[in-house]
Amino acid sequence: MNNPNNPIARQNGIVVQEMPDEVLVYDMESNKAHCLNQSAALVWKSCDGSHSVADIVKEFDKAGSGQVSEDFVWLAIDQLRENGLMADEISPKFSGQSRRQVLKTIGLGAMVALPVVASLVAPKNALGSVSCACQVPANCLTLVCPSTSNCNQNGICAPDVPQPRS
Amino acid sequence: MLRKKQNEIIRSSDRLSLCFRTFGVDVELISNEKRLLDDAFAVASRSLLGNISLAEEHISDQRQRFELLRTGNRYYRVLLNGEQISSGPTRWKFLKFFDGLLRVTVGEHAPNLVFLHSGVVAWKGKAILLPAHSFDGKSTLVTELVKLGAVYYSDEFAIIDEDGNIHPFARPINRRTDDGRFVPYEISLADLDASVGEVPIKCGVLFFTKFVKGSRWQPRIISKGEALLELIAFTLPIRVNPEFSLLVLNKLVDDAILLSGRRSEAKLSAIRLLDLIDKSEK
Repeated sequence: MNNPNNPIARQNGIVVQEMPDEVLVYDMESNKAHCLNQSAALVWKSCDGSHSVADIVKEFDKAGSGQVSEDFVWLAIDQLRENGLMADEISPKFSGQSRRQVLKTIGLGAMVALPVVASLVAPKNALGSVSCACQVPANCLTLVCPSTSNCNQNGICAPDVPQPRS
Repeated sequence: MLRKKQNEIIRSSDRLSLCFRTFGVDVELISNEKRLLDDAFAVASRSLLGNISLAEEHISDQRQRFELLRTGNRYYRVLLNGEQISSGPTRWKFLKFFDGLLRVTVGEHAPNLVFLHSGVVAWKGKAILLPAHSFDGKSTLVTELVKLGAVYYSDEFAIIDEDGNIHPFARPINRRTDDGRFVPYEISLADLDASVGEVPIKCGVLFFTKFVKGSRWQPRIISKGEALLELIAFTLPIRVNPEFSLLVLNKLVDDAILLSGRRSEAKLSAIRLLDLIDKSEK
């Protein structure tokens, strides 16, 4: 049965691709993709409203993923929250320490990989990342081309170079 | 006489249009100048390697509407679905820009296909994918791999179907001079004596790489999750259809060797890459 104090992962407006040890979550609202490593994925999947943080600690044991502490689980939840992957705003309840201290403490003694959420924003300007073709400088507002402000004599977002004298 | 007539600007109420279907996408070209419309259609035909079937009437309400307009003071404007994308005074730059915009738009909206910005060659029946941004040296590496006997599939897009198979899109290889002027030029496939892929194939190797002068050859194996995340940046329909895109990308990376790392000189990198693949099969 769900307990309102238990963490709940976001389910709406996302696309999920599961892989053997990882989960990729695509946020359709922010157009951001998140790759959850095995630890973060296990916590995220367990945040279904029926598991408390203490229960999630036991889930690690059950899954044969090793022993972790409640701070470890909170660390994962905190990252998931920061990336908009939790349904509700939930404050981490580290045992009297800051996140930085917790990270240091867990990191030193961890037998399990620390939870990691890697993120990337889907490019807005597909044309810029594909061709760097331009008509005018305004077409060059993309970070992947050699220039973000100049459309050169060849119709490419790149600096002008003096033509050699013939 | 005919030339003058073709250059004549037509009143906005009498705009000319033509419709075609390409890779499952319905496209409408609209112009206020007959010659501009003809030129744009020629660009489209070449750009999409002739994968175009003309339609007599508007095919669907979901079509992509390109308005290619010449204004009285010889200014050229391109609108896509009513939104102005670009304008400028140079006709050839305008058509070149339209060329890129059209392919990207088709790549974003093609149903049942995922267009990935990537070089593709085949080696021993499986694809080597080289996803990269412009100016990262993708075409240079593709050229060197083809010179070593790899079968050419594409230097711009990996076109992937719903089963994760990669289809050929063998345009001439587009290169730019490396003298700082970036003058574009094409290498014809005949000049390279290249074998060109004809059938869809599975992905054998996915290699995220970019040219960095003086870098050491140290490709590392990455996880499927890392690969999927990296691929997002090169997936054209990711914002339009994320669910289908991710499903297809997941199938693409299944069973593939996933690599990431910088490379230096293209010829040596191509030799090392093929050597690495050959050794991994033993």
